[in-house]
Amino acid sequence: MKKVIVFQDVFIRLQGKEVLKSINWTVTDGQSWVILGLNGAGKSTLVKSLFEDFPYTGYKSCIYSSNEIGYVAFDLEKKIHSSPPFINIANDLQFKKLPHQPISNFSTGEMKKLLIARALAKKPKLLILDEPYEGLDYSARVKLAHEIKKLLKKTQLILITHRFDEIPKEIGRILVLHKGKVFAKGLRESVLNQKKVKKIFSHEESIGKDIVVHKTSIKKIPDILIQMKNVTVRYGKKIVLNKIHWIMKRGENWAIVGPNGAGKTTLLKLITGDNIQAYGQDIKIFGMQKGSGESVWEIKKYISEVSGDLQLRYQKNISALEVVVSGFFDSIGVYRGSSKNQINIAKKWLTNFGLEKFADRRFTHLSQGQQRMVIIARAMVKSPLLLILDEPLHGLDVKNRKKVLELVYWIGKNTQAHILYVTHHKNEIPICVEKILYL
Amino acid sequence: MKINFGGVTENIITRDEFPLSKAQKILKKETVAVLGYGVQGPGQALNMRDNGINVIIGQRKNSKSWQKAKEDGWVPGKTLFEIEDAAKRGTIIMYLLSDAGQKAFWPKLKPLLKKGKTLYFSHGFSITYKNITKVIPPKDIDVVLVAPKGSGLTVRRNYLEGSGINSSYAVFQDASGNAKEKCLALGIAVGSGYLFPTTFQKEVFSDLTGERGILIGALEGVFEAQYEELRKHGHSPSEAFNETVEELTQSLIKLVGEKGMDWMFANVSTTAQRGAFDWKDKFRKAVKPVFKDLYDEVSSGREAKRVLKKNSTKNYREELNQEIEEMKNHEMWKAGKKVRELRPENWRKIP
Repeated sequence: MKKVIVFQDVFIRLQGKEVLKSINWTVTDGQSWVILGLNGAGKSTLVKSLFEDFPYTGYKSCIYSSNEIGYVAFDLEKKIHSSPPFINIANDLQFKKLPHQPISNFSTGEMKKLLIARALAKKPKLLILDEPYEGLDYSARVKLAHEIKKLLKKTQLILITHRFDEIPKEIGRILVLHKGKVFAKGLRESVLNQKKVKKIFSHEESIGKDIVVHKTSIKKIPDILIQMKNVTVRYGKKIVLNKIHWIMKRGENWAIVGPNGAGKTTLLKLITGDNIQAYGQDIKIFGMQKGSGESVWEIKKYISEVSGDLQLRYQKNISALEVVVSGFFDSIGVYRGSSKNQINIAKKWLTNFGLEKFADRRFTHLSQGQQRMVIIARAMVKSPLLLILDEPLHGLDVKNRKKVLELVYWIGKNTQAHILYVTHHKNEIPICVEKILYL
Repeated sequence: MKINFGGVTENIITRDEFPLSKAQKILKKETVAVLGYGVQGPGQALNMRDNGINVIIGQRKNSKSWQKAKEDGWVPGKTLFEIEDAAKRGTIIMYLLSDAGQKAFWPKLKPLLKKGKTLYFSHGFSITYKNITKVIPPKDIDVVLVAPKGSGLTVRRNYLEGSGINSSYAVFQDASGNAKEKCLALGIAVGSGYLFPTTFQKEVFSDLTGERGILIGALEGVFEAQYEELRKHGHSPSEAFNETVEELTQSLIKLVGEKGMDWMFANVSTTAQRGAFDWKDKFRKAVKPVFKDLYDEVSSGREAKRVLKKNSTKNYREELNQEIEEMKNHEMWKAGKKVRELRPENWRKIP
């Protein structure tokens, strides 16, 4: 059998840290693999090393060049945002029905679809999908699963996922990475049935023991938290939200559900003040009429937010701890003096999430999943009136997902925080969320 | 806050000393009309609105910028008007048209500047060169300036991140007795992190000198001189470009930004160090007369006159395009394009 990918005793060091250790892995012609592992295990680095110039030791080869590899990953999005040649490629591939529009108007799901379309259009010999399902709505996930099934007949696939139910039956082989090492590899069932493999993905309940709750400064919580009347958002000819009426009352937790491009994130951004079309519309937030002399900071003060967009905005030179501390100021970075107490609270949250050793590490040097946990820690440092969770579990491994869901449930039950939850996985809506807004 | 800048004390105002709540209070009864929705306009207007200030926009109807303003949530008839209309409604007029645009629109604006209003600039040009521009405000209004030290895009981006921009501020005319407070309030409202004092004249003299000098004009001049000399002696375009521009922009200037030129001199190789110390004075001596000439031209108003006149000649656009084209086709910048493409981060292919 022809060897397509070979790793022999490969070590990869990034930013002075050993990310992969003594990797031995061979992929022969026609094989497809699923790579599993916790956040920070080295999964993305392993597949990126097939086309990136990472410094390494040992022997490593891949017979396919970049032109023959199709690749989809969360952090590709920011490259497309910032790299003009890519915007052209993306526009060329735009689904025919979409009007020509700037990429910045794309929703999370539309962006993901675009990335997938871009990878498939190359007719690649090797397709690398790093969590391709994240951000897609149910019907798109079904479509993608179907597409993958078809592709498997003629294309080799490497799939990274955190959701075991997303592993296609047709992929026979599994590689498990753990702390930068190959933990298990081989045929699907034999790997999944190993006790030690089951053990690293199992989760013990831990949240609630040492959470500190901080009171917000709001004196009296208004009866109606959010009110929208006849709200429309449009860009040129593209209508993102059409005549929305919605009221969120005190004591309610809501899920916002709808297909990709339905306007879920846009609706949330009208609340956080990040979408400026909120002005000139009939929107009341915490009793304040939008545009009546309130500042965005007065609103943001009561809101904590977790979203992919927020994570992407932090792609700069800043430590994980600073990211968390900036949650106190609702800023992207720390621009005001922070107190010892604030820093301690931030550290505590990093510790709660097992990330204390990454406190001084540069945020961008963390894995996608670790970055997401840091963003969640940022949202936790203040006790908000409104906790906005826009696909919060995106990129998290099964243990972290459970941890965050427990946390959300705990917060919904034990604090004054009201929850607004956006997801494409209905089974992940925390039980404290009783109301659903369909867009 | 008094800050000692290398021996000279200056009085700057930070947003901690002048908090947003104070600015909001001062501007509570005002309607701020931002005239011009080009680059500086949106940055300042959006920040003020997000800071809870009552803002309206004045812009030519059905222009591209009008459309953009609508997408930015400004509502025609409520917060978005024709320029004259906005100027009528505003109590504070932010005059953010281009320098040439300000001169052209002034005859229409002047009669609308009723007693008690405030006229705001982000550039001292029109007022300083009033003999040429004819922008002479009525005596019974306040005239102030806040000049953010960054493009409108930076002004907005920094604001959104919770950071801020540094700005200079000045009062040209204080009819109400509160012009300075109002000026600082506006400075904070548009998103300044701190403000340092200047005058209209100093702002424009330093600005015009800087852009003609080190920032753009002189920089290109010395680039060309060094590049041409290297080429004359048989150095290849890529070598000449690398030693002239690339090493500066990709490495050295970033370090100067972080640590200063003194650090650079202390940390280059011994050969470079000795040479740079000995040659910097020769260069200073050589260009000093040019800078003197430049400042004279700027401060006498001759430079402004020349620029405005040139700007209004018939074929100016075409001539300018030709100049731009010529520079683009200069071997140095053609070589530069190739060198940029060769930067490893640009040829790494992302699959």
